[in-house]
Amino acid sequence: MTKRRLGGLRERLTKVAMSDPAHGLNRVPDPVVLAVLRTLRGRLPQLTGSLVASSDGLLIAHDLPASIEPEGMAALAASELSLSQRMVSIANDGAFREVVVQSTNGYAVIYAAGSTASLTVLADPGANVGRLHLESRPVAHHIADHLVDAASGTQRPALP
Amino acid sequence: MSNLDLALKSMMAVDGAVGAAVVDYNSGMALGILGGSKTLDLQIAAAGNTEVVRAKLRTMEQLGIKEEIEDILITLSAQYHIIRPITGRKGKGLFLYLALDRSRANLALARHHLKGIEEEIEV
Repeated sequence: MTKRRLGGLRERLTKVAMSDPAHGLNRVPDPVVLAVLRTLRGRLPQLTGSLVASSDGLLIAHDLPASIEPEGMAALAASELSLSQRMVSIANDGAFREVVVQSTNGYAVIYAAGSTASLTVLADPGANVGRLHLESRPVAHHIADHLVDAASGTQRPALP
Repeated sequence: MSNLDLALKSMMAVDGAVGAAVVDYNSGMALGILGGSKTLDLQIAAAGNTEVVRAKLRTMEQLGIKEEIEDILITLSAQYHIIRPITGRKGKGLFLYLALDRSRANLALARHHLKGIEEEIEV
């Protein structure tokens, strides 16, 4: 009970929707997106985790290490996405594609997956960013297509 | 014109050159590319050959070989690919990548030219 109240407080303070397991808001991860994220991890050894979130901060699927809280990351990805979209609209008025956050301990790259979702990819400091982009961009694209299809109820073949 | 553009132009001036790139092997991204084609995407080549250079450096470290890589030659049935790490203080962590058409290239001359370009380059 206390936990739910705390969630409500966090929701009010951060203006980010908090999932409440008791109310079924914590939806099942999208199996197609999850499979795509797992494949991506198989292809990139330096990848430490990935997550897909909608632009309103809801978690769609994640493949994150246990040390990272997926709901919080999803909310953060959404705010990063909207911040970047605003930056783009002021700077050169196009569509946002990706933002690379590099720290001393690794990378966090956020890719646009259509206009309503984002793909976040975390990688080791020694990661090959060129390859990370080459592998992740098509994945973000595929996820965007899938989300459009899922919304309209059509099926699309899996990513090769 | 920057020194980087000049280096890329000189690389493409080597007989038989079909693609050239200057690549940062810390990130796997190309600082500059010239040439290439639909069948030779230099961005992919940059990322992929970064793994080649890193693997070789790691292997040498594990073998305890304390030497520098002068160049790496990859011979395909119709192409030569030459990778040459930049040794100068200003080019640390970069390598030159040159793809050549085997039927038109002179390997010895190409390596010689690449050595000269590598010595001149300032990034």
